[in-house]
Amino acid sequence: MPKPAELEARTGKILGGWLAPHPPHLVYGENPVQNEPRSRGGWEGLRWAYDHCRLRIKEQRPDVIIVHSPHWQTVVGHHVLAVKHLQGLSVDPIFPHLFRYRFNLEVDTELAEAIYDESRQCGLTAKRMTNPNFRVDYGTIVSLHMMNPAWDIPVVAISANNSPYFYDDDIAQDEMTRLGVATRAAIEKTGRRAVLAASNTLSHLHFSREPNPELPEDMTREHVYSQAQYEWDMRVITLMRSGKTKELMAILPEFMRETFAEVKAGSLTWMLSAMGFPEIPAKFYGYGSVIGTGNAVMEWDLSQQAPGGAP
Amino acid sequence: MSFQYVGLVPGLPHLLAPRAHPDSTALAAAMGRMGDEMHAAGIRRVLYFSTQWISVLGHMLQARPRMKGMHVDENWHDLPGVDNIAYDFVVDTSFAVNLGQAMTHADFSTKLVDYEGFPIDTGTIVADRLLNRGRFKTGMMSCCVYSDANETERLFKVVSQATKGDAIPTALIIVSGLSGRYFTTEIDPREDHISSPSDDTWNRRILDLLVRQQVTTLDDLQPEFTRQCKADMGFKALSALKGAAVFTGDRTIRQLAYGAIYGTGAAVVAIS
Repeated sequence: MPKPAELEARTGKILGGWLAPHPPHLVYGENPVQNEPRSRGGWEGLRWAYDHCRLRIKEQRPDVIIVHSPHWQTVVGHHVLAVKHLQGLSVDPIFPHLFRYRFNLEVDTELAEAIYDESRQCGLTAKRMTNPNFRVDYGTIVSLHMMNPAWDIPVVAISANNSPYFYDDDIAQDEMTRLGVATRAAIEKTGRRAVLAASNTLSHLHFSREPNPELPEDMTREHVYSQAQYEWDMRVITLMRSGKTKELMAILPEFMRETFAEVKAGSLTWMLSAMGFPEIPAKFYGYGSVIGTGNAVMEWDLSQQAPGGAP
Repeated sequence: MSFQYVGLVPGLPHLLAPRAHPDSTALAAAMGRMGDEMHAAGIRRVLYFSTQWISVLGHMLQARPRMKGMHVDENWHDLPGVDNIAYDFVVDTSFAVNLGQAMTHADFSTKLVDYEGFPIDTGTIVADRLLNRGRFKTGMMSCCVYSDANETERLFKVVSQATKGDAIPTALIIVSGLSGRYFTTEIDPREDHISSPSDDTWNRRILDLLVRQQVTTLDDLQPEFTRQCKADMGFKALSALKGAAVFTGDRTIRQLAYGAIYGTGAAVVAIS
């Protein structure tokens, strides 16, 4: 972590952003010491795609990783973790047999406070989460673990305000766009070198029963939910790979309606907004289904942008 | 008779706040009275069905014998006086096993959960704090988001039938709100009210029909109530009540309280 004087002297920047899906199956398949359940593996296509992210983070050494998680759902405003140190046991209420993770994380509270301040200045309702007994959600933990299992870089987590499910999609995504602008301003003002993570799947229709309850990692039973959903995912990924961000944003509402896409929670819009909706090709590292949902690990590497491009 | 007592109660943490709006205070007091009524009626066990415990791969039943700890709500983590909510559940695990077997036999995907640190939902905790006060053993069942009205009704028929053969007097407590239109900005708690006059009218109409047991009309209105008022979880509470056979004419339905919690509609309804 740079010293305060160093940070003051420099303008912060976003190094890149990751589509960082959070099925707990990925942590379960990896068998890290923090997670109690044991597996025989599974979902390697996605898990190994995260190896690229881990490598990039080691190369870049960002000051902070900022994650927006659909599984920290808040009704009143956008909340930001603002406790210096959080630890505890996070049990996924949906897949408790797969994810019982002992988390121990350091929060960049100065940046968190700045995101809170900037969000309010953007006209958003925002709140700091300062309760030290707070249980961090599995979406936040899974994305951060898969990106940086060493947990040696401070983090900031932002909740998914449920406005996308309360208002129509336009209003909701506008909120997420402003949240992205606020996040970028906070990064710049605090001098941080930040990596962003949109913790969401793509298509989100899934099986209504676990295909093999005796062996959740039975890959003979894992497949895309439907051909239509798969084709939607490929259409969206193709736009991302082509750097057609405007077109991507234009079809997101239809994508959400047709595939119940988790991007509706706003994580992707927030991240792209913070990065200035960069018209650069995203790097594709892997795609896979988890109980039928579509997931991709992708990187927007802003260091590849020409000078004067989006931050 | 399967459930000797059935209740519909709200489950937001504002009900436990020491300096709450009068509506919340009245709702909490009504839940306290409901717990006393249950105790006086000889109830020894409560099955909670909370719309805040959501599941997606079928239904879950809590099967850990003792659940004790401190709960922090993901949204109301700084609510004065209730930022950390203590809870202590004694779970009747054999009851959970019996229900699970009956549900599985009826082709419901069912899972028993017995894990340290499992996050019990705010609704169940708030309801238990106000109703139980250490008097009843408990059971908890999740609310599957993909179960529609018909499946929810069928589920509760199965659960009621399974409870019928059990000697322990049991109450079913459905933890659910009515209209679900929260204020989306911070409000002064003293100024809480139902966020839309239309929602208020709808809530009162639904409650009136409930008390008069006009189940056909309620059935007809359930989809419209859900659309118009963002009713909590599609007002599955009605389907649960129907499945639990409360509209048979031999039960008394009483509205003990009605009011607002952060803009949403909330009621305490006792069926005995």
